[in-house]
Amino acid sequence: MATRITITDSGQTQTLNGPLAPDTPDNSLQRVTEVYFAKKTTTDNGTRVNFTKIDSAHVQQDHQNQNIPYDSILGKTVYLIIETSNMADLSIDAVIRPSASTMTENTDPLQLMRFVSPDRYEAQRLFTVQVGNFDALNNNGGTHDHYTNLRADHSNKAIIKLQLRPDGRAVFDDWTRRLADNSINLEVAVERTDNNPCAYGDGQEEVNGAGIFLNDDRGRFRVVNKNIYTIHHGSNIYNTLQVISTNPERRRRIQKVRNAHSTEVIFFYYDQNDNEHRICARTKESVTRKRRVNTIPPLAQRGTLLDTIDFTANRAAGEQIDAHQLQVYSNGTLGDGATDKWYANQAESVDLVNMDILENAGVGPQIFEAFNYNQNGVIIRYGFQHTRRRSIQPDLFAGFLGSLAQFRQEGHNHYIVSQGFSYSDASCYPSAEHVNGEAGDLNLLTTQQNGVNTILTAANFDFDNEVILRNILFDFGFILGRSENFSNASNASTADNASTRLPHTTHTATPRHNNHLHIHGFTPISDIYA
Amino acid sequence: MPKINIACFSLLFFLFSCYSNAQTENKATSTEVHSPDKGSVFNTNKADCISLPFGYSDISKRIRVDAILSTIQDENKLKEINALQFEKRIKKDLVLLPEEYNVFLPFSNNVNENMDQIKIASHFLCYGDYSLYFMAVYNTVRYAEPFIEKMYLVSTKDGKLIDMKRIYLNHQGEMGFANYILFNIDENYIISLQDYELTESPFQLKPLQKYQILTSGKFTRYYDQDGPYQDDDEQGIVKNHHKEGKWIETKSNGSLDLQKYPEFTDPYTYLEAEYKDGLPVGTWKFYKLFQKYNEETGEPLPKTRKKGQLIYTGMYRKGVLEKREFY
Repeated sequence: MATRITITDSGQTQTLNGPLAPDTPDNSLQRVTEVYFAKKTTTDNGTRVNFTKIDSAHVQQDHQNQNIPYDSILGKTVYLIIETSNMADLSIDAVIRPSASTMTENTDPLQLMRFVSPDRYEAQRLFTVQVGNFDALNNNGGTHDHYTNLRADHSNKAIIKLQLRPDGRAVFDDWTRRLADNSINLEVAVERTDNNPCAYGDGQEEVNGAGIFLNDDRGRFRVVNKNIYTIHHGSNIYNTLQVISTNPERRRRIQKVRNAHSTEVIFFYYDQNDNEHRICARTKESVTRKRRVNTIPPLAQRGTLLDTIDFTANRAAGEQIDAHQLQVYSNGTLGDGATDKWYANQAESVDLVNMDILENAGVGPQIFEAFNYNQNGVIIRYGFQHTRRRSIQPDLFAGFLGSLAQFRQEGHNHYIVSQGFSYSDASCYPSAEHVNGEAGDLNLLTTQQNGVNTILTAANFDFDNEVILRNILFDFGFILGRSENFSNASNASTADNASTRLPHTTHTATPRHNNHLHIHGFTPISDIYA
Repeated sequence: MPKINIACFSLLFFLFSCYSNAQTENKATSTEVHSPDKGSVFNTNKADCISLPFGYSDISKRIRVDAILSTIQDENKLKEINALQFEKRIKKDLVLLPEEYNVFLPFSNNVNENMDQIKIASHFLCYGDYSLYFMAVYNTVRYAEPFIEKMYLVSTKDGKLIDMKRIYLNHQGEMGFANYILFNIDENYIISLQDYELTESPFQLKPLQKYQILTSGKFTRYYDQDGPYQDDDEQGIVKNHHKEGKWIETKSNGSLDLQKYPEFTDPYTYLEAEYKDGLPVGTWKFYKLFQKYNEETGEPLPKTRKKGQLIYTGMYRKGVLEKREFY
């Protein structure tokens, strides 16, 4: 015997004994067949759209194809899909509520942010949506006409685009504090706006009241606390972030959802067709900010020696690291090299993430591959050479990932190799400018595309693609750069035959910038509540 | 108190002298790595002596960074250097000679022969009874193509090693921190060395330093003027263009191991030295030098310098270090 759960007008649930279920549902009934959370997927160069379920019965996987033990994250943008039959153009009400009081101290429907227009999300508790209305799929120009399969494939759906967050930061922080390391299941209750009856799921009769979905083991929608970065390809017309310049229109490309109760950071990339790619997860570490000073304090004033990081083996193996060792004291870090440098602890802290995701072991002068993401048309590959400075601020990392993804998607296959950002303690011997994970160096690109370094004046320097990469890095937030004036008549590029310089860089010869592209001055990424 | 005996240097000279005297006619051009028990790596064919001047003749005129960079990157000069024909690969210990105490990136502990190819050039400098060979250390790991990172002039007589002087440096460190040395050898065999350091600090041109080959085959500092001399790093009397008598030198000291002296914040020493005809003699006393730094540039402030505790002494005889004693 089938069991049917419904909701009364007072919001109470009742369990009713329904009629004996026949072998097949009655296709003539007006029915809400399925309700599920989904992410949008497109095919055929972005002209066909579909929805991929995200719940415990449709587990997502990370970049290493490992199952992810949750389905979404507080603050993340998702689609709520209500599939119907025989309900064309009818209006449906939906509410989303937690299955337990863990997060909100009750199980009342949640007030969440709904996409209502390209420049506005609105706080709603009751989501009213019309079957066959596709406004939730509008791009930043307010249209969805570029999808050619809407009528054919989705006319039976009511689609809601929403962010899993409340209107205000204070409430969000309350939710995340209570949720902590747990997950919360979100259920969905739907009913016709006109309160007329309809069937739910495989129910055999049209009933009054709401149908509840995602409330049993056939599929639960599990939501957790994480920090989120949403990174958009420059040509993504669904990017609704702030316009920063017009003609041509340029928008911010990255937004973050800061979560004060999680140290995990998830980086999502939305490609040129707005397909979502979960790039990677990193744990951020809060580190005391550093500033290089030119007076090294005597031993008695350095505090307690906390750690010594020795690079003797690296140097002996041919890694061209300038520091012999780092002595991390409670008051700062002593960089021990040809000329010692002191990196004094500052009052504030800074969050850093380790860019070395693969963590290949060993020492030597070779390129250490640090990440190689290759899924669904998105490739992000980078490595490190002659450096152990592999820590970066999460904002910059988001910009770095977005830049590499777009560069590759535009057809450039160069292996991107970094000469480093900051050490994990935020110091950066011997430099002053690379402290706190706020600046980095990249090997120059070559026509061999293999990541091996070169200089601006070498015959294998790939100036044309270096210009493209620099412009993309700029667009993703690395506003400032350093390089040198140069000319190169020996390489394949002709644009550098006369004296020139890479775009968005200043000529800097002290120190030299003829063998790397230095990027810094990153524009801070706005929080979703900013 | 620990004592370091440097008799190993004498032994090295002896071993080298034995094998090189035995095979002085070998002019192989292979790139085989030679060890001291194999054939000589030094070409003795006088037809391969280079003519002077050689090197970067206008380094004294290059005082601005951009002019210096164009000199450093001068492809024609690099071709001239490569035309010396660095063909014979050698092992590091073949020429493990002592360098001055204040040498940055010294050969003895900063050249990794597994990664850094060391090669002797076929073309060399003839100076009376002496033959001075160009030895290059290649950096093979930074770019696809190796480049000369260091170049030394090795003084020899009758196949016997006498002295070594680094005359060229192209050290490319992290984040663009770079150290260069360019050289010029004039018709009078005076070697001019110009040192450049390009860091985040404002660029400062360092004084040109000159060296001369003595009748003993050793290199020594050469000064244009006789009489009292004083700059930020050293002071004393110059006689016959060479250091003479007592000198005070306040320089970074590569022999000061800061790991053993964690209370020190830099490797500078205050040296009471003694010279005769430009060569070290007597007992040199190395004290710790205490000094403050310019907070903006990081440069030491000479006026703040104070002599500290005695660290070690070195006993010299005819320019050769015979004993070093730490305190």
